[in-house]
Amino acid sequence: MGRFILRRLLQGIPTLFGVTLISFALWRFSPGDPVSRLVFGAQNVTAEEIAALRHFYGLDQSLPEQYLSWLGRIAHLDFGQSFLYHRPVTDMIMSALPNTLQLALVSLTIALVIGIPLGVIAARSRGSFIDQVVRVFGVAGHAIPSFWFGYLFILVFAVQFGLFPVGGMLTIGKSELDVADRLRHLVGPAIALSLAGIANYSRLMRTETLDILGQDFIRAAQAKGLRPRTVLYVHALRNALLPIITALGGLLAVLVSGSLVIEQVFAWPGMGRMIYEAAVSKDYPIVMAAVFISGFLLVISYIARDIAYGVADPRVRR
Amino acid sequence: MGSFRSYYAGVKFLAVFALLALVIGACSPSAAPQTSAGTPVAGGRVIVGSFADAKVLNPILNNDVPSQDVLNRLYESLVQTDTKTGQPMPRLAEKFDASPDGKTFTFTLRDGLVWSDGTPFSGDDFKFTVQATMRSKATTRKSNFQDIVGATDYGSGKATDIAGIVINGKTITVNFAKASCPALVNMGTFRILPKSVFGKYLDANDATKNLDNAPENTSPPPVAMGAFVFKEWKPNDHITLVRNDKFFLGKPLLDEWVYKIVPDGNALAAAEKTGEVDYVTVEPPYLEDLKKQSNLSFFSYLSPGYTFIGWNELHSGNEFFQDKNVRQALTYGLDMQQVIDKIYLGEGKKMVAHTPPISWAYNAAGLNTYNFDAAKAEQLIQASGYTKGADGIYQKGGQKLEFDLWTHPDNPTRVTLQQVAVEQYKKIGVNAIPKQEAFPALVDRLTKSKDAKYGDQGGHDFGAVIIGWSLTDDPDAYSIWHSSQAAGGLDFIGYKNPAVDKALEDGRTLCGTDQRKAAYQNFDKQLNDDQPYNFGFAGNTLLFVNKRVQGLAPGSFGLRGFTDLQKWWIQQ
Amino acid sequence: MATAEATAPAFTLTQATNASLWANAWYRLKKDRLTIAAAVMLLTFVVLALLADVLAQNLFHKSYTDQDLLNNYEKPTLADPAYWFGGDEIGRSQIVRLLYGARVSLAVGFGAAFINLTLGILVGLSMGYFRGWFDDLMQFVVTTLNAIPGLYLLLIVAVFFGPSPVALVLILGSLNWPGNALYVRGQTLSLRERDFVTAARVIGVNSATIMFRHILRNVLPLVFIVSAIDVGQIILTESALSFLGLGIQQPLPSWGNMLTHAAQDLSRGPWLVWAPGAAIFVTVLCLYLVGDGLRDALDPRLKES
Repeated sequence: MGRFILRRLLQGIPTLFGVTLISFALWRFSPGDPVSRLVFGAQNVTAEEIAALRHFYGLDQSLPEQYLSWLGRIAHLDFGQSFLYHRPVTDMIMSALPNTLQLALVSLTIALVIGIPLGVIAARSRGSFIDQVVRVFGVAGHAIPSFWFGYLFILVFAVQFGLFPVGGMLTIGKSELDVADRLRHLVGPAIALSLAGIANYSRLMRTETLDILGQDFIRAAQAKGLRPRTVLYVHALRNALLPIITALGGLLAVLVSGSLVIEQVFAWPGMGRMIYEAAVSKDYPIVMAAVFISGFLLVISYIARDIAYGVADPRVRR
Repeated sequence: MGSFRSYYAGVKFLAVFALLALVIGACSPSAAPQTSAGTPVAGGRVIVGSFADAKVLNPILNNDVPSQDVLNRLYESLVQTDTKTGQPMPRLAEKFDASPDGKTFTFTLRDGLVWSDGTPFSGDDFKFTVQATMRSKATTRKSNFQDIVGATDYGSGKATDIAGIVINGKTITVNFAKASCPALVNMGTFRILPKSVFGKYLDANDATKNLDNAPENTSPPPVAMGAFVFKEWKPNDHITLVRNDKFFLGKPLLDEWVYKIVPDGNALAAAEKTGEVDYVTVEPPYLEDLKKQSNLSFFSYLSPGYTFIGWNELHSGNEFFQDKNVRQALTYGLDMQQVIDKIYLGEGKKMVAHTPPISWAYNAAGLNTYNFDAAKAEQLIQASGYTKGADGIYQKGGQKLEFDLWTHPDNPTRVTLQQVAVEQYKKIGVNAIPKQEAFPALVDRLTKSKDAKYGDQGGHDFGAVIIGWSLTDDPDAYSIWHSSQAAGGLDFIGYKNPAVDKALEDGRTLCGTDQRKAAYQNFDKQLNDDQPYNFGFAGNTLLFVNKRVQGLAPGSFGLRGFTDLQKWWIQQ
Repeated sequence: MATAEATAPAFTLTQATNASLWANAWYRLKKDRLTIAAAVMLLTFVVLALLADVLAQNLFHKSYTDQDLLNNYEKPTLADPAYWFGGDEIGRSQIVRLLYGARVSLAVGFGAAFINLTLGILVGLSMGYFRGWFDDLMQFVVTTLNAIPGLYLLLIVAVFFGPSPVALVLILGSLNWPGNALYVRGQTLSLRERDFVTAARVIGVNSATIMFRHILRNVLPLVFIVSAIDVGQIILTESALSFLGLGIQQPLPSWGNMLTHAAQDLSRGPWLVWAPGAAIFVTVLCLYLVGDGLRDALDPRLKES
């Protein structure tokens, strides 16, 4: 097992290398340049100023030099300084990442708590009216473009009924530790973000449960006098565990990149907005750092998934 | 703040914010009269809603409007422009003077100026700010100071002091190497940093030292000259400032001034309705709805800046843009007033030349208004020898009146203008092909790309472009219109006119108000006749403020929406 | 966007003969009225999209660019067919734009899903069949692409190529194929060891024939199901890109950019949001229902309850 993990870890290194190289290349070859943009916005910028700025941002080096010096800094866990914000990229990520994680974990919980039972219920009454209702409602929320769902939520619950705030994480002036206030701010974005998960988990569980229902051991278990529902949940969940782990791996990417659209609509100060702004402003230290970190976490999650598979099915470990 | 700031539009919403400015209610009978209810009381907090976060709270490094919104509350300047006319007025300096040759400027400081920590304010703080700017490697602000005698030498390390700035007690004398009339406003309104805090980052003998990476750039010290002092900054969420009891115009009534970020337009309008934010400027689509809210006051004022269509005279295949008749036809042929009425709900002004109609330098007399006249447009095109082809498009010698019309998709108003222009130009036999490109790429296209044929003369690879200028308080427009700016500068349409050059040079060297005014009238008349742009329109700033906030006095220039902030108060 | 993996069917087809497979599936499908209803709905949208030109010319007498700025924000009215759904901020017919929007949105969705599908199958089949260094190399490429979050890739590439519809199809079409490829590879790996493949090899059938005739045929139905859901995801992604200003650009309508514009004009033309919003909602929902219904129908292990 140890050798298996080590091998997968080593395999992750070239992947990370590839991730950064592709991002860097795409980035630097795409049109638009942070300095020409500053110059466009200011009056009478001199040639010397432009040269100084290019040097300040390290843009006067050749592209391979820029990439290598970036790699060199990464080796020391130094992500450099944001062009736009004049502060260390690490600081910016450390301020946005916890917010994104908070939102993602809450919405993940909602998705699992609602999605899993929905799937099992649908499967148990397959073909019935209940099944059809669940099939429609399980994915209905996800079929609405998320910005539109956000607007509807704001118009109805914030403006019309005043139940929840329009956006942000905390009421200005309230204590950081005011849990009730935090929760009120979480409701809208967390629900919006959980819709995709509800759709996926309910569909996944429905399939897995249908599969179990057709197998002989269920009947055997029932014959032994076990409660059918318990048997169902235990077996269906066990079967669904691997696909759910797989889905969680993909979800980690969302965790890290944040959900841009939902953060934008609900004024949530997370990673998605930070990266989006950096992307449109060509602030590449932020973009590169974000790609690197999320790439890193994704690779880790794939390894974790493979290990989980390896534990569940020893044949994988060849 | 000396800068022609383009609409900073990568973040689409900033575009509107860039227009914080002038003439209260100049065009709006609907501007709610500020009912002064009761006597001002101290206490409370105002929450200002913004589409985008500030970036850096240092005037030397600042390049965006949100940063300016916040740092202008912290730091002060020697002079401040009048909210209605844009003329310089006293601020930290109680008196100021420019010599007739435009080379020497004298400022006399008020008595008893102190920073919020009690340190006295002096001319050294001003001089230090100039020094720090010249030594910075990350600034785009040197143009404000580089013509001061000895400034460039100080910047490069050849000198250990700036000889052109002389401090004598309360008097600051600044000597310029060449005449520079706009300097009074551009230099005078530049925000001044506390030397007691930032002084440690500079070394007179070591030009490599600068404050570019100072932590105080993003976490300002509790040493402020403005009405408020920095307290905390939660990135992308909010910035909190607290009252400066030692503010030189009197202790502010408000306890806190908060800058809250709500990036989405719909959400921001909703937050204004629910009272989550108190103060917000919005885009026209939200106007009608917010006006119906009984808890909001509405202010509308024109801003120094405009949205235009630029005709690239140095683009192969589009040589017809060098023909004045064609350019005039393209102004006559687009009903800009209808666009303003229907898209901007009348909250804007049609522009026919460069200088903002609200500026002291503006004079409408002698300017053609170019009222919409499709027949006249076609006559002008025909007068230049064009005939309509079978496809309904005018052509001459095989060259069709056909061009690419660029804009960037993250600005809905510009996209709408583009759609209308394409449709209306088709009706006068001109084929504009709509093209869109993300803002950074469009900027590259306008300033860096090379036209196949005219690239060596400074021609860029686009036919026409819809974009906007946000202008400084001073009417100087050298960097946009002087022919020296056609190669690599902001005159990316390749427009050259010796008479315009002369007028712009006069505006910089003949510093008397009347002489400058005459120069800019001349300049506007030339542009008005030439129509190198379809000058489009200037949209009003549409400001909504919760009625619990009292004592506002917004205006087009100077401190704009935040004029007299120390007098704002919250109705209990 | 990161859901392709979760939607991969969790079962394996055996080498059941195709004829009986599809016959059984059709038998089951007929009884699943929800899926049939969804499929009919989708078909209606496709037909309407195809008829956009005919309807615009003969019924509505407007093109999707025709403007009437003076009378913008027309309220919905029965008097003039062109304004059944009202007019937008520059007086264009909402219903005509909706029809052409259907064309654009569906074309982008199906086009990009088709690219995902083709790339995924070609790469996955080759990986699974040839194994060895080719498999290792492609594994590296696929994991690398998978490890770049889709959002960044989309933002970067959208800025790079500009917002033309063709570029958008190519971009969206090149995002999800690694998931498809890995799935097809897994299926191929297990199928190639089966008796019927070995038998084919023994009697001298060449690799291409084995891959495409024997293996592909078994993998295809499942990949199609994944693709149905992919189409819905892509339509949603296009609307999110429109929201960010990077989607299909005016004057060309897509449901995504129509909804975005309508949402920004909510207080002036509230009626403008419902049609594009409903169109996206119904289409994506139906694609899910059809995808899931087909899977139910195709899975031989699922017993009737």
